[in-house]
Formats: sequence, structure tokens, C-alpha cells
Amino acid sequence: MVGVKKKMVTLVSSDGVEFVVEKRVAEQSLFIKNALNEGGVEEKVMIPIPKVTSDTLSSVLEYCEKHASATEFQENEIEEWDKEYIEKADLDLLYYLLQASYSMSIMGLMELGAKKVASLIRGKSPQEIRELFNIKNDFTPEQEEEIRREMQWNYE
Amino acid sequence: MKMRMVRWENLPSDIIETISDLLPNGTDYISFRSVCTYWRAATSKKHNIPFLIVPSEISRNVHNVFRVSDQETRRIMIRQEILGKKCCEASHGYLIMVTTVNAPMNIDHLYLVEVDCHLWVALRYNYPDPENSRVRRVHLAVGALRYNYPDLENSKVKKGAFRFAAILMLWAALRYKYPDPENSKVKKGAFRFAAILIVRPMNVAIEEVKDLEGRAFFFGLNQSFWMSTEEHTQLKKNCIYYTNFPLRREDDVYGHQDFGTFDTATHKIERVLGSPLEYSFTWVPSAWLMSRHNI
Repeated sequence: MVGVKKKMVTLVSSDGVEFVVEKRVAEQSLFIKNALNEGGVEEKVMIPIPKVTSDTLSSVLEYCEKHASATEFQENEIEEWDKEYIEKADLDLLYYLLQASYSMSIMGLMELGAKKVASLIRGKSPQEIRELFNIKNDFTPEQEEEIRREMQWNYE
Repeated sequence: MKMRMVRWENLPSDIIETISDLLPNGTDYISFRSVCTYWRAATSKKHNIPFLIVPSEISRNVHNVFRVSDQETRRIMIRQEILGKKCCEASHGYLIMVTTVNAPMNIDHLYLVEVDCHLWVALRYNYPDPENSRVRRVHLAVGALRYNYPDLENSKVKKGAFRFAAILMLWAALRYKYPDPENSKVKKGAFRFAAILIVRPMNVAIEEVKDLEGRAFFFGLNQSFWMSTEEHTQLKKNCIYYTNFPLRREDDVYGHQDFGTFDTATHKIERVLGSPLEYSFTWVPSAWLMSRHNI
């Protein structure tokens, strides 16, 4: 590794924690990639990541790290890694990862998170889904009636 | 103190859409968009995939239906007062029930049962068409009323005559009841893809549809219609999902009912996995039942 100086960038989470990572890792995020392109290729760049806390960002970067070197691994190896990675995330982290993947434009992570959510939803009734994600039922009685009819066709 | 920021209902709509795309099963999809107004607004309404009415004797007020979406047999409840009657047709959320099996069918014996709540009846022509020998009993009319009895309001409309109502379109395909005289390879009962015809209500002209353009086409006793395979990825593109009126074969006292898919591109017939229709003849025929929400 002598003589090859890796380009580094510094990411700042919403709660002010700095993460120094390789540029190629950070560029897994299209948001950062674009920010770097706009700002020229200066070194020692500081990029604030709004709305993403340090806890979440560290987990996001773990994902980026792995995927930045994806070419070194077999495809199924990456798949396995993804599976384990998303499996160990609890519901709150899953939510933050989805939000972060969206605001940072990391498509792979967003799809991975969406898949996890879909797997949690499968086979559940709307009420069970609400309880799981702590969501309030905010439908009007008219909407409830429409839903009831739609359900009638698909359940029983 | 950490503020509670997790509000699943506020996920960006792109993410909600991505999640919903991962729920091809109709039930899961509908559950998903029934959780809260945000999620509902971010997802589009899908048509329901039709049920296949499974031929069976009704012993209680329950009728079996087969769902193509997850290849499961389900039950639908039927109102008490039609106990003992049998389903002869299904249309847009309605079952058409009749009282007796062996007595000649009379309009007085027909009952409509609201499974959903909209009425769109199409009566099937049950006899060979004297004007067109190619049209046999299995020929269906959709979206058009084909009267089984003379029209009381219009004496010119004879029994069995087509009366085009100003409705959308007519699709028809044939499943041959007899060996094809023009093609000895096509045996009695075999599916011979004749044509899918569309009727434009404005000019009552019949056009042949050459290409399903990726859609899935449901062909059945009571009605025929197509559905988008992009909306329902579990449906096969360019395939005809067919079911038929029980056909009687030679040396076969009871006849036979059938359900499967016919690929218009490869002309291959496949039974749908898990389909419960390997029944011998029962009078209650299989038919597609579609929700009125599809209209």
C-alpha cells in the first residue's frame, strides 16, 4: 500500500460526529458523490449529512464499506452479508436506515430495507401492521367502509 | 433525552411505493394500503384478481373459490335464503343462482346473489347458433347481453339473439366441443385458439385482437376480460386463463371441467398449479367472479 494515498472525506452527522472514510466508500451515496463533484476534487472535504444521526450513519457506512469493495466478493457472498446486515437491525434502526438511504440516495440500501419491511408485512392484517409499526388508524368512517369492501373480496 | 423520531407513516412516498411493489400478493397489498392514509395515498389502487368459482355442491351457505393470486382455495359466504340453490354464472361480484338442476332453466328460477354489490348480468347462449355453425354452446358473450329468452320489450330480439348493450367490449374465444373438422389434430375438447374478438359498442363491429400486448386474458362462462400483467406480476403475460362449461366426452357420463392457461404465443396449455378443478362433472360450473371494484 506504499505510495497509494487513499482519498478521504469527512462526513458530519446531524449530531456533529465526524466520520473519516475513503472517498470510494462515501461515493456509494449519490448524494455525496454529487456533492463532491460540485465542490471539485479537493481533499479534506467536510460534508454535513443532515437528518442522519451518528448511530445511523455508522451503520450506513458499514453498508457502504462492504459494497464499495463488492467486486472482491462473490455475488452470493454479498447477498449473504446483506441478509445478515439487515437482519440484525431493529425496527427503529431499520426506519432510520430507510430514511438515510433515501436522503443520501443509496438505492441498494433502500431496496434492502424495503424488502425487510415487506417481509414483515406479509401475512399480516392492517391492524397487525399498525401495531407492529406503531401507526395510528387515521381513516374516516367513509374510507373505512371502502377498505372494508376491498378486504371482503380478498379475505375470508 | 432522545426524541422519538420514528414515524413509519411518514416514510417518503418513494419508499412506500418500493415496499408495495414487493407485495405482489393481492391480500398483502391491500392490507398494506389499508394501514393509514399516508400509505394509501402513496400507493395506487389495483384491480382485484378474479376468483374462480369452484364447482361443488353447496351443502351449507358456503361456496368455494380459487384464487389465482396465491393459488389457494377460499370460501365465500352466501346468504341463507339461497341455500340449496346452485350457482350457474358469476359476474362482477354477483353469483347467479338457480333452483333446480334438472328442470329446464326458466328465468323465474334465477336468483342473483350479491357477493359484492353491483349488477352486470350477461346471460350465456346455451345452444348452437343457427346462423353461425361455428358458434357452439361454449361460445361466450361478454359485456353484451345475449338473450336466452325473447326480449319482452323488443319483439325483434329473438331468443338467443345478440343484443348489444352499450357496454364496453366483447371478447370471445372458443374451446371446441367437437373434433375440429378442419384440423384433425385438434381433438374433441382440446383448446383450439380461434380468435379473440372485440366489439366496439359504437359501431357494433367485431375486430380480431391479434396481440394481447402482454396482458392476461380471462376467458370464462360468464364473462371475459383482460388484466394488466404489469399490475399483477404473478399473472402470465399473453396467456388466456380459461375455464369452461362442463363438456361431455364420449363414454363419459359425467363430462369434465377444466381450468388452465393457454399461451397465445407458444400455444401451450398448462394447468395452473394447485387448481382444484380436476373434478368430474357437477352441474355447478366453474366461472370467473370479478369484484365490482374492477369496473
